[in-house]
Amino acid sequence: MTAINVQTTDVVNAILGIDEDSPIARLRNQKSDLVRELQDYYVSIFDPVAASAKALPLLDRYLVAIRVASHTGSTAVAGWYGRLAIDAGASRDALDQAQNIGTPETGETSLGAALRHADLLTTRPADARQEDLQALKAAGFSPAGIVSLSQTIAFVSYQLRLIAGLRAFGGRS
Amino acid sequence: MSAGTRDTFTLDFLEWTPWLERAVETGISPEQHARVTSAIGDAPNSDYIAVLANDFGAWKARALVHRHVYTSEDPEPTSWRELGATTTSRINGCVFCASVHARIFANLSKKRDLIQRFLDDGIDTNLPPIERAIVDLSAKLTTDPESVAAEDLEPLRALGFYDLAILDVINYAAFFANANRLMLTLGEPRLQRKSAA
Repeated sequence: MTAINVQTTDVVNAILGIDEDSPIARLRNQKSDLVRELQDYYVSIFDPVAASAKALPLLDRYLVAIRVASHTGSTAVAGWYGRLAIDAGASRDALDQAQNIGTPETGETSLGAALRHADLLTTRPADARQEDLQALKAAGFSPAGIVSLSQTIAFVSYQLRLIAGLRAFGGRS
Repeated sequence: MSAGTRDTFTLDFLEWTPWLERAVETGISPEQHARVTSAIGDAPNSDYIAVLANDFGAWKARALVHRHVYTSEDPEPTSWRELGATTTSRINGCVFCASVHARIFANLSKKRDLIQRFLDDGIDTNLPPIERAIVDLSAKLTTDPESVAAEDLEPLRALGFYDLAILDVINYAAFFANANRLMLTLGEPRLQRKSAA
């Protein structure tokens, strides 16, 4: 399997497994500016500038994305970020840790703290408190890292719902 | 802070207080400082932008998506997607987002009593058919997105919504899965301070 090119592959169509000329892609393209802007948003998070990648490593972003998508059972989305994580050299243990939503994260490592924040924002966003940001700082996150983490979680929360909604245009289940 | 403000849905104007340093408070370079200051300008909710600007690239890219879903006038009427945004925010518990978009819905639809009741009583409150169909689709996307199927689009279709109009509802409701989470984790709402003027 060839590596995914984050810059050039329209991620929503790719996860849906549809071509540019499919009915769903044509429906999306009635708002082509939005299609492009959404792709740019994706690229800003999953192909970030160097300073941002330093604040939150790329591999951790993929693992967080897997975590978010696993909570809603969004297997196609989780699989996409799984491929990216494997391409980026993720260990089997790290992939298992990200996918295993049945095991609450205690946040003892940097990745664990990121996954715990993903658990919180994905399943109980209204329970988020200032103390949760302090916990991330204690785990080594800078303000930039906290914002990048929150953006990653929030982006995938949007993306997986848009994809689920688009899929419903594909015919009766 | 007021313990109640973040838990009480309202149509009133709220402000938002960040829990995290604004980008200009983190020792960034003069060039970055100028870039952030210029980007924020005199925008409303400038504290929210100032915190998001800690990841400037993601903030900028997201701002374009936000502007698009927010200002797009195709299809009309746009009040329907505001109801979807309010639904997502009501379920996720984002009092700030709900107040903004419930007000926009009220202004566009002139159904202030309806949306007040929706905020007070929740998504199961009695609603007319179109409002009910929008709330149901938005709620399903919010709570169990993978269960959304072709049948879930039928109520809106039967009420005259064409595909782009249905997608508009979906896109906006889905976008608020994003907006709610950012606002809920990076700060909290507070009652607007009385103006001295």
